[in-house]
Amino acid sequence: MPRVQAETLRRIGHQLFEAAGCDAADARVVTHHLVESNLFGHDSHGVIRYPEYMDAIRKGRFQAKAEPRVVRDHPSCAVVDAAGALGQVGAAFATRLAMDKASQHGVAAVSLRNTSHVGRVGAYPLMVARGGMIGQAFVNGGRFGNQISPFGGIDARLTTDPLAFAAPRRGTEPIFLDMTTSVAAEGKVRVASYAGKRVPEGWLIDHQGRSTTDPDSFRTEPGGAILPLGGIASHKGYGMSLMVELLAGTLSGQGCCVGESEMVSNGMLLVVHRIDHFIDPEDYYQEVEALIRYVRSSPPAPGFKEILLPGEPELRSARRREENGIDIDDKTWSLIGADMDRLGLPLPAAG
Amino acid sequence: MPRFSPKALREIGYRLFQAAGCRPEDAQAVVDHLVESSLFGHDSHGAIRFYEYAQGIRDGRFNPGARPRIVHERPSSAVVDGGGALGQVGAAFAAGLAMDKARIHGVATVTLRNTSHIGRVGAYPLMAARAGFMAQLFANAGHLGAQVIPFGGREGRLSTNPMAFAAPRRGHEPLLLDMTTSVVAEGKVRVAINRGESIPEGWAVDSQGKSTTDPRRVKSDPPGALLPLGGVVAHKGYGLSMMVEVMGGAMGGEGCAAGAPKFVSNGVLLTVYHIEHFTDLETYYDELDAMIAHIRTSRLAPGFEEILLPGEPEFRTARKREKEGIEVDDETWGQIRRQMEHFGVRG
Repeated sequence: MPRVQAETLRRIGHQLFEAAGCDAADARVVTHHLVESNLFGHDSHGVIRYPEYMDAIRKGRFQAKAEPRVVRDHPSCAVVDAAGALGQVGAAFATRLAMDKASQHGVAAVSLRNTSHVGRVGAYPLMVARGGMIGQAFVNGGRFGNQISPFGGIDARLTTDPLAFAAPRRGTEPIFLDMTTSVAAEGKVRVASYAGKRVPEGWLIDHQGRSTTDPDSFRTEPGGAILPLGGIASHKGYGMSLMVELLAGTLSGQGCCVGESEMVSNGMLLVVHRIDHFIDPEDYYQEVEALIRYVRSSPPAPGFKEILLPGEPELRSARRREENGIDIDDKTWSLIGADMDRLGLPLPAAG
Repeated sequence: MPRFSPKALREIGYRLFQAAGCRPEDAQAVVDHLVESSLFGHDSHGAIRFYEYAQGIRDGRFNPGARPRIVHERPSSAVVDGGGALGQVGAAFAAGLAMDKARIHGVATVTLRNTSHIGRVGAYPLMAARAGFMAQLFANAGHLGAQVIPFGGREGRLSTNPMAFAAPRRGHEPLLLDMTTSVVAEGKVRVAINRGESIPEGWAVDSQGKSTTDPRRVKSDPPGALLPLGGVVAHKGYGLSMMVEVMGGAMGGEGCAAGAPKFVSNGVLLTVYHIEHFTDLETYYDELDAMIAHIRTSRLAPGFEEILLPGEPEFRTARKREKEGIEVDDETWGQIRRQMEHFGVRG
């Protein structure tokens, strides 16, 4: 399995997506997003997607040259139609727009549709927090959805409906939360299935509604369902899932989950708050740092060495992988090589 | 055990709080909130609080004459100081202000501090949804915070840090989510202690960080703590709790959990969305109805008779209690009577 430096992966991505017709800025947005997923340890959302996205561009599912367009515009809110652009291009556009509006008006909400798949939802609040503001994102799958059971039901009727949040800290990386409102992301069940492994108790039910640890009883027809977040309080995960459907699906115009079998595009809502329109930033940073010190003063639970903040495992993984390189599985590496070859580009050596 | 119609209970409350020095509109904000809690079946947050709040006014914990004050204001945002008024007065004021702003600008956020305890946090998004908006609220407990463990820790460091959301429906009560980011609210542990019952596995740990089903071990000295929401993925509940701390506490201006021994006030952040700035109202309702119809086609899990929406259990209880009346236990009624006598209100 080749180990490749993050910078090399970015360079490959720029070349691929520019050659596929993206302008340089868009190629950069997509590539940085995917490589950051690898850096964070979320390989299933990383450069494994290069060949998949290239294929989608060739087949016309993603529009490399599409330009996101503001279809409704008010001082502190807007609706963006990404016109079928790559998901990250639309979402980064909407995020920048929300940041511009919030820096003028203190709060802004921008919704986004027709943007295919936005990738790691946490990436956009993180952009906001790195710009010194607070970001929230809500993402649904439009009308698509048949993965998660509703509370009280046993058939899959919702999607993983993720939400994300990020807030700046003084002198260090932000706090950030990036989570599905189901117990687990669908991708994790798929990974377990491919690897022939079981999933933990509490993730899945089979077609009869019985608890199971077999990922294939979810994936093979007639399928089971992933449970909403919450364990013995899973009405809360179900409630949050509906909140995400409404914020992301209705306000964007992408629509809400009705069980369509193909995902056309995510619907998204980005909400940005500018700190100093509400509170003296000194007070804000002081309170946040005091909170972190206090939370960390708890003795660790058995099996834990320390108490981490939301996002900290990812940011640590990123520091490690920036330095040591990223392991890319052979299949992905050869698919990327084939794409480079097709475009007449030399594949850089791993390492 | 006396039983009251909601109307009669409200009348008693209005007279009691006006006699205690509240303006009529403030007495109404507090009383309507508490009676709605009773209607929803949340008796621990309902009329039982009449005497506690009246006593709080006598003790100087609440200032019935205080008015919430706008500290900073911009077109789509504001910072409100509750002025030490009763919590519902500050929060209802903030919600009204956020709605006025959102109606014009599409989205608005109002923060609120120095407002003591705002009660059921779902009440304020619900106010907005009944007026046709979507709304989201975060509330922390200021510097208090020792009830919930952080993920990876074994001692309480956070409050139950609730969040709420509401959205209007066509021809029905709104969809309403009102939840703590811990597995359960702290009040449920107290109820179990009072009844001498055990609590389910997965709610709490003892002072050593070991899972316990004995509620007394949660409230012992040294105390145990509640677990963050999530079960096998409790890092998510912990993450949500930290989000509420940052939004409600750091942004709201009441400060974040720092182990203070006494509760002073909630820190609150409320965001209101005006749907028509984003989409047509009819399209919105069509999407929502189609989704609800889709969800309800699922086969039922064992023990369930139907699939309910968030908030639906509360609205059903309310319809039942509107008809049948609200029972107030003898102890509570005696306490309310004593407060009425003190303030010279005839029963």
